[in-house]
Formats: sequence, C-alpha cells, structure tokens
Amino acid sequence: MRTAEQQLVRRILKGDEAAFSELVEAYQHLVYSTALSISQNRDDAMDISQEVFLRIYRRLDGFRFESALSTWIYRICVTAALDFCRARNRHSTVSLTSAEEGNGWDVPDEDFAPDRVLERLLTAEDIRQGMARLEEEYRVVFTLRDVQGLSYDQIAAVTGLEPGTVKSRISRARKKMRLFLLKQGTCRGQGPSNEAGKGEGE
Amino acid sequence: MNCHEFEEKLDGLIDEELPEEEQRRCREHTEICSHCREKETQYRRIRQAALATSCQAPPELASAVEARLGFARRKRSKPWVGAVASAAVLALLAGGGYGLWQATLLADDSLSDPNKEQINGNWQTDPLMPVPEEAEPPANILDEEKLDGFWKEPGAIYPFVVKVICPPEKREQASQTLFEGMQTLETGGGRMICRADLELLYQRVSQDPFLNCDRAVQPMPEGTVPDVLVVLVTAE
Repeated sequence: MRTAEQQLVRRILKGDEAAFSELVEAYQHLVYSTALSISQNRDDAMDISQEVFLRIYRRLDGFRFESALSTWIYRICVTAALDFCRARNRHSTVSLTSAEEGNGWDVPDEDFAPDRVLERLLTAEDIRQGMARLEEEYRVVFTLRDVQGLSYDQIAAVTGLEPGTVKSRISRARKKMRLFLLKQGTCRGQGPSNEAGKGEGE
Repeated sequence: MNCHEFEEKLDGLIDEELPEEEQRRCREHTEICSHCREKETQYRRIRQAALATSCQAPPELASAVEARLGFARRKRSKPWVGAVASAAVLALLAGGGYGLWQATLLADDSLSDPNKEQINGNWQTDPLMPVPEEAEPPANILDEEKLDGFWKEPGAIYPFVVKVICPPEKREQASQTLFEGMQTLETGGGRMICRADLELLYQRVSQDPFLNCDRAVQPMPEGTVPDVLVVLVTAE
C-alpha cells in the first residue's frame, strides 16, 4: 500500500501530470466531503477543495511518508477549511448556552409531540444542521470521527491534538449534537424538551 | 455499573473500543436502565446519520484543479463510476479512510468466470466497513419477510453496497441504470440507506429487462462492523 503511494508521489514529483490527476481522482471525494462538513457551504467547499489540491501539489516534495498520504491530505484539508472559514468569517456558531436562552434555534413545535418524535426519521440533513451549529473545534473532530470514520489516533495525527483531547472533544461534540437534535425533536428520546433543557455537557 | 459510569463509557461503546468485559457491563446496565438504553440508541442513530452526510465531489472539481495547475485537459470518466482502475490507486485508496459512493472495478481474475467482472459500489475501502471482495452472491437473499425481520426500526438506515456482476459489454448499461436509480434516492448518496430507498433502487433495477436484482445481507465478522445490505445486480 505504502509502496503504491510512494510510486504515485514519485511520478508526480517527476512532473507526471497524469499521476497527479490520479491522486485528485482518488482523493477528491474525501477532500470535498471534509471541506463541506467543516464549511457547511457547497461553494466554499468547492473553493477549499481546489485550494487543498493546489497546496498538495506545491508541498508534495515535503511529504516524507512519516504518515499515510491520506493523513497528510486530511491535515492540509482541515487547515485549509479552517483558514477559509476564519478568513470569510461566514460561520457564526451558536453555542448551546445561547440556544438554551432561546437564541438561534428554529424549533418546529409539532415535532415535540412524543409520538411524532418516535416516528421521525433522523436524516443526514438533521445532522448537517446540527454540525452547522457546532463550534469549529467540535465540528472538526465530529467530521473526522463520525463522518469520515477516522480513528482517534488518526484524528490526533491530523489535528495535532493530544489523543486525550481528541477523545474529550468528540465526546463533547456528540453530546452537543444529541442535545441539538433533541431540541429539534429529531432524535428519539424519552423526554426531549425536558432533557434538552438541562444543558448537558455545558 | 450506574448511569454515571455508563455515560463515561458511552463513547467507547459506540466506537467499539471498550474491552469485552466493559461492553458486558454496559449491556447489563442497559438491560435494566431504559434511560441509558435509549441514550445509546440515540447515539447510534446519530452515528449512522452522520455517516450518511458523506458526499461526492462535484464532477467539475478535478477538471477545475487541473485547469488551475495548467494541465492539459484529460478525458474524464463518468463521475459515479470513479474509474479507479489502476492497481496502484486501488492500493492507495485502501489506506485512506476513504469511503464514498463510487464503483471500483476489480480485476477480472478476482472472479471465477473470467468473462465477467464485478463492480463494488460504495465504500469498499472504508476501514470501518470493509466489504468482502468475493464475487459470490451473499447467502441470505432477503425476501419481504426477511427484510421485515432485518429492519427492526422502520426509520433506521443501514450500511449498504451495490455489487454488479456482469459481462464487460453490459457494464455501461448496468452503470446507467444504477446511476439513474441512485439519483432518485433520499439516502443513496452516502454509505447508508433507508428501507424505502432500498426498495426504490431494487424496483428500478428490476424494471431493466437485461438486469436481475436481489437484495441481500452480507454478514460481517462479529464485533467488527454492522452487517451490510447488498443490492446485487447481475446480467447475462
């Protein structure tokens, strides 16, 4: 596996454009999906993805195979996405504290009926709405763990965080996500309105 | 184990990183505590739905990158097929934590019949959900009754994969039919599928007079990943 990566990288470094196109083809979905999860905007995700591949192309001679190529690409992608979001300042996150005070939440009342809650299908769109409201530090680890399926160690390698910090952030991110979904009435629960009001994890 | 201890173990439980003894203690607790049992269910459903947020890059991304780098324009494959034909790239993907809906052509010699080829749709290379490469149909084909038994919650979504086994000359047609079928699905862009969408895809493929379609479950090794739903498409 690593040999194949090395061969591909060597071909690119020798100026083989087709080899870089292979790399783009192989990693475009990973990059775009990660960029979209973090930016929560399709146009931004497209811009970020292009920037990621330009950075990969420019920096590939510095890749030393000390990690998997995918880990290195994830790292570039997360950094580029965060740079982009911060620069444009497009994302105003809504903390749970402010949400509990009634700011920034659009709760459909009819979904709070317990029987409706039980019937409601939890969709990818519900998760996207929740992710858009997660603070950046939680959105990144949630994306890498629960959307992209990376291990804790891989996330630590991508983000540069200590494994313990990764673990605690993932835990906190999931609690916040669950609380949001309970608030929205989209996560099956015994008493969504009551539990959602407790401010779990805060 | 009390509720507080369970809460502390919940992430490890969901991530399947707890030792067997800890898992057993958690199971014992949830058998007697409906609150924690419900919470675990919610976490698992969130995890499933989060996986489904994965999406494909727009088809124009690769050409946009090449244009910005000044590369000569290259003929691109159909976006959904992914065209991961070279062995080098296949091997590279296998290390990547990579798992979006795309089809991967397996080498012809992976099949018992050298005149056929297999396309594995979806996240064959995802480390969380490895899909066996054997071309033989899964043993347990799902009829309606078995499907009812499998789908314990009507609203649940499960990991799924599309397997196509057909002669090379039918590949294009099978791809087109599947592509059109996938376009109509609510959950079909990701790695998970709901029951209604599984039925839609099954019916769409079954309508094609040149294709046969079955639904099946591919059992995964115990304790590794959930069993995988398979839409098995064959053509003669």
